Amino acid sequence: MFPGLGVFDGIAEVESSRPILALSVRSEKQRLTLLPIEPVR
Amino acid sequence: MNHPVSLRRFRWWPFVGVAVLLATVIAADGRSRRVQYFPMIAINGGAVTAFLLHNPGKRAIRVHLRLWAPSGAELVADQVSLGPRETRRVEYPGDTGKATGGWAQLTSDRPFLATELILAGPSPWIGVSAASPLRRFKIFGMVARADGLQTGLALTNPSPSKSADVRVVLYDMAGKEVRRMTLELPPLANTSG
Repeated sequence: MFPGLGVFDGIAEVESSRPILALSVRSEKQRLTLLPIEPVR
Repeated sequence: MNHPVSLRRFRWWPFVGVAVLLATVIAADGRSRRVQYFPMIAINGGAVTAFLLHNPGKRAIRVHLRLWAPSGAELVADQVSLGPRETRRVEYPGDTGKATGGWAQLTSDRPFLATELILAGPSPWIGVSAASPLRRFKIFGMVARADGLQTGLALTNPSPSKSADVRVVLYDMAGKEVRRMTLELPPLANTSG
């Protein structure tokens, strides 16, 4: 995963110089949950 | 009134199954496209990546599937032919080595529908929707703190030739900035490894 992100509660704002793909991944005792992204308009 | 086929004998349940499957595919993506990106895969070491593919058109199509490792190295290059209105499921379990993440790109010369399922670790099959490349967006962190819980971002640069400079700013629940990070994503690289 993204280095250093670790555990956090809240929201991550991402900006990229080029279009990229993204997905939020939650791992709890190796069980995964995926969260979609919200485009900023 | 006499019917040539008794309604009681009409076996409707297979059609309900097909309808549910198609509804799942359409709900997962919503529209057909010629290029579809999936920001996460799991393969090798017992992990499996599966795709459900549907050709909504009246002519046969061929879908090219490419699965990439986090480093940008190609893991799988495959192609699947679909007849008119045909739906197929394909699975990529990989080998018995160490499980790895990555991402996938599916292309065809005609529009198609696709959704992804991954099987990794003790989790049941997890659905992954196709993602659109974006330059600015927000992602929720999981709103629960507990032992053994981690939240991460699977970021992918789908460009085959140009790096992406990425800035991530984390805000807490009250909107206060708590951390700021930068990352250079090389061509075809992904952070889910």
